[in-house]
Amino acid sequence: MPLLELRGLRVAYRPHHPVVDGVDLVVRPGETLGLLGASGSGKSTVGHAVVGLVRPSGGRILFRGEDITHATARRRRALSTRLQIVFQDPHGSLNPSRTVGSTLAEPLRVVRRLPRRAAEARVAAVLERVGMPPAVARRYPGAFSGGQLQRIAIARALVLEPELLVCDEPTSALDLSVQAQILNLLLDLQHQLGLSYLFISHDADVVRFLCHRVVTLRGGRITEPAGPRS
Amino acid sequence: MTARIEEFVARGVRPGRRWRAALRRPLAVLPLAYLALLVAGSVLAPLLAPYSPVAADLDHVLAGPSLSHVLGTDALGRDVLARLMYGGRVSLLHAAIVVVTVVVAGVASGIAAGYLDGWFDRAFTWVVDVLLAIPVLMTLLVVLAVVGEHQTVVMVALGVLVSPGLARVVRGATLAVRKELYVAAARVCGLPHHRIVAAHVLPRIAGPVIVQVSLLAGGALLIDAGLSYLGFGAQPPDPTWGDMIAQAASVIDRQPWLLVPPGVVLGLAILAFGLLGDAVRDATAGHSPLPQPARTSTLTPCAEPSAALLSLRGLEVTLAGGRVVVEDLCLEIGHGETVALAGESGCGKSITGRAILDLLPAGGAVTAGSFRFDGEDLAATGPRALRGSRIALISQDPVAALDPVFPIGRQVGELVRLRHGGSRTSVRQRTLQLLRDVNLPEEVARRYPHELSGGMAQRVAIAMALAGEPSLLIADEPTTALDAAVQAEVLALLGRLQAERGMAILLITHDWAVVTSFCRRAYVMYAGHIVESGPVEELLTRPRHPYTEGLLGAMPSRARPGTRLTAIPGSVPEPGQWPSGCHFAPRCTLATPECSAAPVPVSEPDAGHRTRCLHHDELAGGERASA
Amino acid sequence: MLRLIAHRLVVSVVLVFLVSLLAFLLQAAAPGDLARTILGQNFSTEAHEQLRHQLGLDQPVLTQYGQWLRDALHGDLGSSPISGLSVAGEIGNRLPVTLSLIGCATAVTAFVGVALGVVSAVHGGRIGRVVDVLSLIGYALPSFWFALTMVTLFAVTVQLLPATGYVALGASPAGWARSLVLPVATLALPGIAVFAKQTRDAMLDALSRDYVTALRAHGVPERSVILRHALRNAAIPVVTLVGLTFIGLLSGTVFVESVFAMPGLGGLAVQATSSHDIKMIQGVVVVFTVIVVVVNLVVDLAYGGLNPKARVR
Repeated sequence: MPLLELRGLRVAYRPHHPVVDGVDLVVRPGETLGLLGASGSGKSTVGHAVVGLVRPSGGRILFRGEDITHATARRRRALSTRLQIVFQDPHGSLNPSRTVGSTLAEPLRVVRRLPRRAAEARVAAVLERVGMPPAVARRYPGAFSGGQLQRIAIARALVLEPELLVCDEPTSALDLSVQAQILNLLLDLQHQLGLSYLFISHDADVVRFLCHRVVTLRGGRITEPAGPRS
Repeated sequence: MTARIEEFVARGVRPGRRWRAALRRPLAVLPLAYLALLVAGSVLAPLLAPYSPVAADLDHVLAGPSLSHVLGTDALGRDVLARLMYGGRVSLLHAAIVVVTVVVAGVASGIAAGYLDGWFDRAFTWVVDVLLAIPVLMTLLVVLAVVGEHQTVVMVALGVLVSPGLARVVRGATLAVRKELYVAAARVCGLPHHRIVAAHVLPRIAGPVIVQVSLLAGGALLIDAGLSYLGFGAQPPDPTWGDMIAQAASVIDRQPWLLVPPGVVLGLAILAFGLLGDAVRDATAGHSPLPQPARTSTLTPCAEPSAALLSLRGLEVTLAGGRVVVEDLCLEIGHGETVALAGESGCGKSITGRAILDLLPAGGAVTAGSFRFDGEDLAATGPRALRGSRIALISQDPVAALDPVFPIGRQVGELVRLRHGGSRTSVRQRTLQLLRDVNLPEEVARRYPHELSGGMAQRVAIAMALAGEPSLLIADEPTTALDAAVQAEVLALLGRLQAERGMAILLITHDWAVVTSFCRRAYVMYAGHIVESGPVEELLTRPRHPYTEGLLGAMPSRARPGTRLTAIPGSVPEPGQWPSGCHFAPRCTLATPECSAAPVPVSEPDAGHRTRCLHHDELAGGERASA
Repeated sequence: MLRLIAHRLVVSVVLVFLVSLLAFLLQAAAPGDLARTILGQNFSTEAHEQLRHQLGLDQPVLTQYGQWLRDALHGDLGSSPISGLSVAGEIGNRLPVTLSLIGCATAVTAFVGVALGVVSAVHGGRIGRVVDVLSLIGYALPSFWFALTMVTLFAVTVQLLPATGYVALGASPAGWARSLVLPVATLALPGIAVFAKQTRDAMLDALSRDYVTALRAHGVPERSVILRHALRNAAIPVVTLVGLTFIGLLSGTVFVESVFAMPGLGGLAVQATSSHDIKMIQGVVVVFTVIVVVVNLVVDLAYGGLNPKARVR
C-alpha cells in the first residue's frame, strides 16, 4: 500500500482559479518522490495541502489508505505524528523569541503529552541525530546560521517521529556547501529511519540527485508523470 | 547583501520580548520614575499635601513660589501644589479608565480579526473603517452633552472611540505572526488555536500594544485635561489640571506663573508616556536609524601600468562599524572580456561590485588599494564619474531596481537625455531603440515596473545600463531571481550584447552553472578573500584551492545520485570573525599550523591560474575532486 | 481604484447615518428631556406635554430620526431649541472660520514638516535630532496650554499680534492673516513634527531601495535622485498623513477656537455642549463627519494619482 496518494487534487484560493488541478501522485514507503516545478507552478501548495495547511477544493488525499482530505482537527493532531513538513526559509520556521528547546518540546508536550523530562530527553536525542549538540536547546534561533537553523527545523519536524516528511524547497535558501550538508543529512536520515520524502524543489540537479522518482508540475498540473530519475 | 549584513548585527541578540530590556534603559527608567512619582503623589495626596486643595486664603492670592507655598497660590489663595496633587487623582484615574477600555476592546477584537481571518476579519475591517472616520472629540461632546455628569461613562466612551486604532495595529501584528512559518509548523503539529495565540501571538504583539497603550495614555491625559479646561470636567471647587490651566488663563495678565505648574506637570506626564512608547518601539520594531555619516574612500596611486580595462590592486573594503568585508583583493578585466566573481553569500562579492562604483552602503568605504580604469589611475578622482557612462550595474531583483512610480519609457528616457541630450523626439527614438535592442516590444515604454515580469524587468534594467554605452557592465546575480528558462534568455541576451558592443562583463554569481555557461575566467571568493582565479575550465578540472575543490564535491549535478556528497564541514565565518591567516583553514582537510600563522600569499602555479593556498600541490590536479 | 472609492463612498454614507443616529439615540437615552430644559424649573404638566408634542418628542425615537433625516437631506438641520437659531445657518456662518484655520494649519504643517523631513533624511545627524526633540515637544504640549503661552508671549508681553478674535478674509486680508498666525502656529506645532518624522522614515526607506542604488549606478545626479525619485516615492505614504492631519485638526480646533475666542464650529460645539443643545451639536457632528468623508475621498484620489499600483482595478 502506498504511504501517500493524491487523486485529482485541486486547490483554488479563488473560485474557478485553481492553482493546483488534477494532481495524482503516489509516495511509497521509504522512497523520495521529487516534485519539480518553476515558481508559481503550485508545487508548494501541493505540499501544504498534504499537511493540512490549505484546504483542497477537490480530489482526495490518502495516507496509508485513509482519506485525510477533510480530517478533523483532532485527527490532524494525531496525523502530525506521522506526517511533517520542513519549509524553505529556516529563519522563519522557528519562533525567534523562544528557545530552540521550547519550540522542539512543544509538540511533544501538547500532542504526545510527555512529561517535561521525557520531552527534553527526546529533544536532545533528535538534535543529536541532525548533528547539533544538545546544548543548542537553550539558545535562541538568532544565534545560528541558515544551515544550522535548517538542521534544527528538520529536528523540529522529526521530533514526533513521522513516517513522511514534506520537504518544501529545504535547500533553496542555502549556499552550495551548506546545501550539500543538508542533502547528506536527508540521505542519512532516510537510511537510518526509513523516512519517506515528498521533496519539492525548482532545482532539477538537486531533485535528480536526491529523488528516486520525479514528477514535474507546471501551471498546477502534472506535465511529466512519475518516472525514475533520468 | 545589505540585508544580510544587518542580519549579522542582529544575530546573537535575544529577539522578541525585547521590550523588557527596553524598560531598563535610561530613556525608559526616567519616564517610569516620573509616572511613579505622579501616581504616588496623587494617591497619597491626603497624607502628603501641605494644604487642603479647596482651602482659600484671600490674604495670599496669586502669590509666586515661596517657602510656605512651594508652587505659589491661585486667584483664591489656594495652594497650587495641593491642587496639583489632588487634580492628579482625577486625571490619572481617567487615563486608566480609557486605557483599560481600549485594551479590552482593541486587543480582543484585533487578535480575533487577525487570527480568524475570513468573514469576521472583513466585518471587523468594515467597522474599524467606519469608526476611524468618526471625529472623536466631536462625538465625545455629544456624549458629554447628554451624560456630562457621569465622567466614567464619558471616559469609557472615549476609550471605545479610540480603540479601533489599537485594534488595527493588533490585527496587523497578529496577521503577520499568523503568516509566519513557525505558526504553520505549530498548526501542522495540531496545536490548538488558543495555545498558538498564547504561545506565539501574544508575545509578539506585546511590544506594539505597549507602544500604543503608552501613546494612548498620554492622549487620554491630554483630552481629559482639555475637557476640564473647557469646563466639562469635575465641578469646582474640586481641582483638575485642565481646570487649573483655565483659571490661570483668566489671570494671565496678572500672574502668568500659574500657567507653569499644571502645564509642566501635564506636559511631562504626556512626554513620559511618549518616551516610554518610543523606547519600547525602538527595541521591538525596526526603527529606521538616522543615516550614517558618509565616509570617503582612500585610494592609493598605482605605480604599475596596466593594459586591462579594469584593474584593482589590494582593495580593502570596510563597512559601518569598522568591519572589514573584503581584504587584499586583486582583480583584472580585459577589454570585452567576461569574468565571473563567484562565491557563497556573505563572501564579499556583491560588496566588491558596489565598491567599484563607489556605491557602498552608508558608513562603508574602500579603505585601501588602488584602482585603474582604462589605463587611468582613479586615486585622485574616485570612480564616481565613471557611473553610467563607463561602468554600468544591473542587480539581482530587477523589479525593485526600477522606480515604481514612473513608466518605463520615462525612466529609460531620463538616462538617454542625461547621456546624449537632444530633442524630445530623438530621446524618444533612442529610448525605443534601446528597448528593441533588448528584445522588448515598444509598448513596454508605457508600462509601470509592477506590470512587468521579472525577465522583462531585467531586460529594461539592461536597456538602462546600455543607455550610457558603458565599456564595463557589472552584473550582480542578474539571473538569480528568475526561473530557469528566463535565466537562459537573459544570459543569451547579455552574451549577444557583449559580442555586438565589445563590452566587458563582470558577472557576480553564486551559481556555478551560470559561470560555466557564460564565462571563460573566474575569481572564487571566500570570506573576503579571492582564494583562486583562472580559466573556468581549469578551475573545474584542476582546482588549486581546497575550497574550490570542496564546492565541486558539493554539487549535486556532479555527484552520483543517492550517494553522499563530499560536503565542506562547518559554515562560512562572518566578517569580524575571520580566522587569522588563511580564512578557510578551520574547515580545510589540508590545513597545517603554517596556514593560520600568517597571511597566505597568492601564488601562480600555472600561467594565469592563481591560488591563495600553501598546499595547492597536494590537491594533485583535481583527482580528488572527480573521485 | 474605482472599487476602493466605491467602497469608501458606501462606508461614508453608513458613517453619516450612524453618527447622526447615535446622536439621536443618545439624546433619547438622556435623563430628562429637551422640553424640561427649555421650560426651566417651574412648569405645569400640561405646558410640558404641549411643548413635547410641539417638539415631536412624544413620537417614537425612530420616527423622530426619520423626520430629522428627511429634513437634513433637504439641507434643514432644524433649529436650536435653546437659541432659536437655525442649525444649518449657524453652521454656515461659522464654517469659513474653521476651514481657514484647518486649511492653513494643514498647509503649514505639511510644507514645513516635509521640508524638515527631507533635510533630516538626507543630512541626518543634528537636524535629525532637532526633529526628534521637536516631535517630542509637539507631542507632549497640550495645545490649549501652548496657545495660552503664545498669547502671553506674543499678545500680552510683546503685543505683536491680536490675542483673540477673527477677521473675515473678505473684510481685511491682512487682518485675516494676522488673526490666524497664533492659532495656526498652535495647531501646526504637533503636526509638523509628525510630518517630519514620517517624511524622514519614508525618505530613508525610499533612499534604501534598490532603484536608488540603480539610479546612482546609472550616474543620475544626486539632486534628481533625491527630489525627483525618492521624494516622489516618499510622497505616497505622506499624502495619507495629510488627510489624517486635517481630520486630527478638526478636534484641535475645539480647544484652539475656544482659547482664541474664534467664532468657528469648535467653539459652537463647546457652547452647545455646555447648554445641552443637542440639536446643534448633532448638526456640527454631521457636518464634521461629512468633512472627514470628503477629505478621505480627496486623499484616496491623490493616493491613486501618486501610486500607479493603486490605479489598477
